[in-house]
Amino acid sequence: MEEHLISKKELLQQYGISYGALYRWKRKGLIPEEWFIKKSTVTGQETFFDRKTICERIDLIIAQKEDLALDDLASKLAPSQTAEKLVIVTPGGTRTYAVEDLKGIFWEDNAGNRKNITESILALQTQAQREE
Amino acid sequence: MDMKIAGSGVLNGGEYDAISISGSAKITGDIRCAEFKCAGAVKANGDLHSTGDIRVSGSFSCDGTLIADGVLKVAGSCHTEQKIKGKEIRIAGALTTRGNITGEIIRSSGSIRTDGDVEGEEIVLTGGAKIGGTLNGEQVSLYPDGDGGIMQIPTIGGTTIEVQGKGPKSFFQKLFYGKKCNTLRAELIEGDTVKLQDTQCDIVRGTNITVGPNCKIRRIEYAETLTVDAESQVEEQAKL
Repeated sequence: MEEHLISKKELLQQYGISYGALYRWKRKGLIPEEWFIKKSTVTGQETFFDRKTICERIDLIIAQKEDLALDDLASKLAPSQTAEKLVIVTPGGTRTYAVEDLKGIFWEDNAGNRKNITESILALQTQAQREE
Repeated sequence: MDMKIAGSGVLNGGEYDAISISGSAKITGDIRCAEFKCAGAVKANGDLHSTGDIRVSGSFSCDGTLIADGVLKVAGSCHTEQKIKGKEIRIAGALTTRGNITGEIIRSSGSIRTDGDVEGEEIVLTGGAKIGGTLNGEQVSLYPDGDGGIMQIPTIGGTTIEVQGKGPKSFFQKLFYGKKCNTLRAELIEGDTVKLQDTQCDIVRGTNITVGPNCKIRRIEYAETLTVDAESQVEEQAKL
């Protein structure tokens, strides 16, 4: 498994947190939906996270949850409403990503080859802004 | 300004106090109001946001989002194309949406269908449910029941999760649905305390897991305790 990923199971064991707490933090928006990466493993489907991003966030939640209510912490951590976002719409729902959180946008062909299209997407946006 | 429609009418978008519709109405544009009641057939092509309650006892369909800062009560049929949010959501009819359903308390004794997620602190679903995403709650109680009595929820997560098929299985239910009637079908259930009956699931993960009768589970991963009823099938189990 890629080293930069941590499984949900491993994360819970490392921090001694429960499933209930993790789902509660997700409900409150402390852990964004798009951070959950679902992958197939030998035991079935598992959820993974980017190790660095999730560990930083869990450290922060554990450090601040004694002083701040979860809702207050959520509004503090929520991306600014004015931040630019990339919105992808599918029949199954809409996913929104803060542009500053994007590490790359890739186009994968049916042979599994990935092409980085981040620059092209950002260039299109800059061009559209200019035309406005 | 209060707005009452009795008979047939068109309501333009805007801000209102109380809206009451008993008949058939078409709403054009986004509505923000203090209270919304409808008891006929209402079709809205925008968002509806009530700072109080929303009560639907006829048929209501909406192309936008449906938000009640108070109680959203559906006793008929309600369909939206986008998300549904209420402090408390009570369904005694049918609620369908393509978006997420969010509320502190969500209680359904009818049918609930969504392509998205369902999130709440207390979620009690009795009857049928078909959820496309994740059901995430602090206290989750599921009672598959009724015509066919099948609940389909791919992922369920929370602190306490309880599942129990309700009601006797009639001769015809057994004939047409076999053991599947009054059953929850899920792919993944994760919780601190998980108590299951009448459940078919691929993976169940949790701290304390109790598997009652009529369950079929491929794999269970538990941290502290596991009890499995003799009438249930569990293919694999692992203590973490």
